[in-house]
Amino acid sequence: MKKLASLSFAIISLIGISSCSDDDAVVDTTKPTIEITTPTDHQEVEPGSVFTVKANLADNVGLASYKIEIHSAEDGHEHKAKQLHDEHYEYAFTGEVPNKATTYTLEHSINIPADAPEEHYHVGITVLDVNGNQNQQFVEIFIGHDHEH
Amino acid sequence: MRLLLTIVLCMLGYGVFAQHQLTGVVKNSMGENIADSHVDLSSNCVDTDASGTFIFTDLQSGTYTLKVSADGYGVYQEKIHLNQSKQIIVVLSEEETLETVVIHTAQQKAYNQQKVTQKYLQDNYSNSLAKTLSNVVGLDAVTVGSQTAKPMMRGLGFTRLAVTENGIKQEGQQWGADHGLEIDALTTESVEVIKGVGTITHGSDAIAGVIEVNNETIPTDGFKAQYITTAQSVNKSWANALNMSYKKGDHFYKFKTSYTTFADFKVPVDEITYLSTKIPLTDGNMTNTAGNELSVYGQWGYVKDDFQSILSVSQFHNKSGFFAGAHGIPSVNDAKPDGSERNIGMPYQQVNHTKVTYHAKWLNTHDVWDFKFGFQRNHRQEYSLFHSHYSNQVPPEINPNLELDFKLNTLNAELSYKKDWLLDHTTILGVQSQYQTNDIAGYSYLMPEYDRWNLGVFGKHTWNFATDWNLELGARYDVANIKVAGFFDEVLFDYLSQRGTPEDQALQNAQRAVPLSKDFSRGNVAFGVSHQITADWESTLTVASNFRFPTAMELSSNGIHHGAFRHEQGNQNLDVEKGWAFDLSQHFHKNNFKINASAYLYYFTNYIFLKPTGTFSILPHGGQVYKYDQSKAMLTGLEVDAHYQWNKFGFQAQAAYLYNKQISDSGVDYPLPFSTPINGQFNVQYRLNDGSLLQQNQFQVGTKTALQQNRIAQNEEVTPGYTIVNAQFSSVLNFKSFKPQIRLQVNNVFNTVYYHHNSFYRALDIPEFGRNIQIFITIPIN
Repeated sequence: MKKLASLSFAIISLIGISSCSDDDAVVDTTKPTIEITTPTDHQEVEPGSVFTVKANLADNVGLASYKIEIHSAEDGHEHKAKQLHDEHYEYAFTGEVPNKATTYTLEHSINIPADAPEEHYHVGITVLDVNGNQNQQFVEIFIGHDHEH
Repeated sequence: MRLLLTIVLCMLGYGVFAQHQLTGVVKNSMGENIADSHVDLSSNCVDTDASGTFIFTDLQSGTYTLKVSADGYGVYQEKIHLNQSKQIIVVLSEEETLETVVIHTAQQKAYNQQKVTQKYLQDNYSNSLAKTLSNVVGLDAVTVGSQTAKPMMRGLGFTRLAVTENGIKQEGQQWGADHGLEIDALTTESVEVIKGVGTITHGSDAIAGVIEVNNETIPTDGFKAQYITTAQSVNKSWANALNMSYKKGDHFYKFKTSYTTFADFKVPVDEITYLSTKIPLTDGNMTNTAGNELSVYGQWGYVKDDFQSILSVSQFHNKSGFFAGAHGIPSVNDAKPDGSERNIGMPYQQVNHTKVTYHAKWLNTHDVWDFKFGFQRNHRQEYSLFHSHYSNQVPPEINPNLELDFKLNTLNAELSYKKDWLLDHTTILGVQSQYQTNDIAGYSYLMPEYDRWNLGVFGKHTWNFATDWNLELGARYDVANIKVAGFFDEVLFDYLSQRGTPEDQALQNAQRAVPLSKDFSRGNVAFGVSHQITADWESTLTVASNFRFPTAMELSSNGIHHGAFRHEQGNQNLDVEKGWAFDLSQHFHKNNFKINASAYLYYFTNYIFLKPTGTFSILPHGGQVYKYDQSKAMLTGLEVDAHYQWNKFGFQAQAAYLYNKQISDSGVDYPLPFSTPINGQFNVQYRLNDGSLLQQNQFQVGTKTALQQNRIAQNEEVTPGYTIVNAQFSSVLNFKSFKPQIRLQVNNVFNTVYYHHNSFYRALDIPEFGRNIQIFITIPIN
């Protein structure tokens, strides 16, 4: 009898502890996607020109906002020596996606200053969906004339 | 003489109307007599003499409880009916340990405990201690590269799992996933894994449980040494270790050292995709992941019957490179070969962990005073060629490439008193204190400077209220204070102001750490019961509350977390993380069959986590801001481990299931980060006949499987499932007195491409090792 009681206690506890209800219907861990159409990798951009970033954004639930950044790719990012420029050209823009759309065509024009130092730059797009899932994509461009690559 | 003293003490207050005597011999399962084992007979006690014999005289007729214990053996207990003089033989069984493949819960402990021997550590050696232990069911490791790993238990790690060495909590766990545990596997003597309950004796951080590393084994008389050498193909590593001990009279000395050098490791793919950038790898080579490790350990001990004193001094050094191709922004260039597989270029980390522990024990027959003291200095540096996201920052003149530098100094002291109330009660009372200070340097700012002290008092009582029932109760109260130094980043403020950022935003972002002083206090309780249901079956249930004081990072930091490239914001309103742990374990052992099964549940009333805010950071490379927040959470799971021996075959199967989630007010319950997927192992061993040269030959084939992990926290990656096959052959070479043990092992025989969910490199799409050939040689020197 005692054995039986112990046994059933053990089994019930095992089942009780390990069973769990699944109600994750609304959990969203799917990241938004980014497809940068312009610029293409290693594209050259003239200083002083108007440069357009185009990308297709999509998400399974809804897009929230995006950020476009341009910064030097030669800032010695970890492995390479920093080339000390007095002034880096940098750009950042944050925008909202209207109506939590699931697809959005991002098109944004940027005036590249005529005095932007000639070098390689990263163009990065970061996208957030309505549930805080984030994705990032980078493309490398060269701002300048006459680029021997 | 302890024996004499024991007899005198135990016989005091003893009646004179007795007629019988009880004599006996204590033996182990090999039939050898055990000297100095302790024998209790109801309210009397004696120790066995050199021949393992004990005697109780002048006993009255009646029923007595006999309890026999000895170091390294399980406790033996039986009821004795005495109506005439009797002679008995008591056979103690060795405390079962985690041998080659068998995992077993020790008896008579009212909690879930597993012992891991040095042999197991050597047989399962895989570079780091955490990775080596990850073959124990329920354990996992957060790995970075080939040599560095942090342990995890049931999906909880970092500051939610305590690791102790010689009773002193190892500090450094509060650092990120790219940082490992600074204890060397090759010189470790034994490990105990305690699951579900650890708070009572270890305080804050022991939420998941405790990994207790014991390097205070008392050596046998004379000189003994062991030389280990091992090499493996995947990172062309070569490790050499020497473990020496010498004991003469009351004194003993130990010296242990190991040195490992490893090259860049290889993965079985030609290309990885990180943040949509395809990064080619030449020959699968992970450029700049080479490194080296050095461990030196010295110990002096003084051991007498009634006093023990052990002083240990150790130094652990690790220097290892980070894969630069995906360190922050993807870089195709940085993944190209850098001229040498063995160089350590930028970026790299360097860790020096210095530790001094002192442990003294004053032993009486039925009570022990125990004093522990520890000093640790954990010095971690990250070097990376000077770079900045703020164009106005200039490199420092001294040490321009030192990006981060933490000097964490910790002092621990503990005094405890243990009293055996003869047969069935044991009480432990203790007081514990810790003082910690963190100093920083480097051109990047990550972790604030802080001072923290903690004082805890605890008590534990074990009641063996029937031969087959054991009950344990514990309580603890802690107070702590943390003072975080504020930090205002002038460079960042100027940078933001120049860019035209509104002043309030610039001020808020430039305040990299908020100065604060916070007091915390917390009481905890634990309850455990174990029951020997039948001779073969034992069941253990524990219920314990646990807690964790918030860290300086969680309370006060603000800024881009280096490496994760994430803007993380502390929250000074965080409360002590609190929860309950339930653990139910079953252990069944009959003839050649053993099975252990555990079910557990952790419930947190306020689990601390990083919550994505959905708002972009204004800092360059910022992404969204993550803020520390608290919510209810639960983790639950099952672990099973079984072993069966059939003639020359041994079979082992183990499986672990884990499920967790936050329990949020909004009703959307996200899984917790770093969830170990459902996983299992199956191994078959075959013992071959001894030859004249090759003896104890053993061949083993095994598989390791993990299912897909799709229960992920926001911004983690779904990790596909996998099965890999491993094979090994081990043998002892019989050269007269020289008996080296050799093991040849092939892991991932089929060169399968697979991902480890809890690898730091997982997010970078970097798979685990491909086929890896390892040779491991142990040479005993006597």
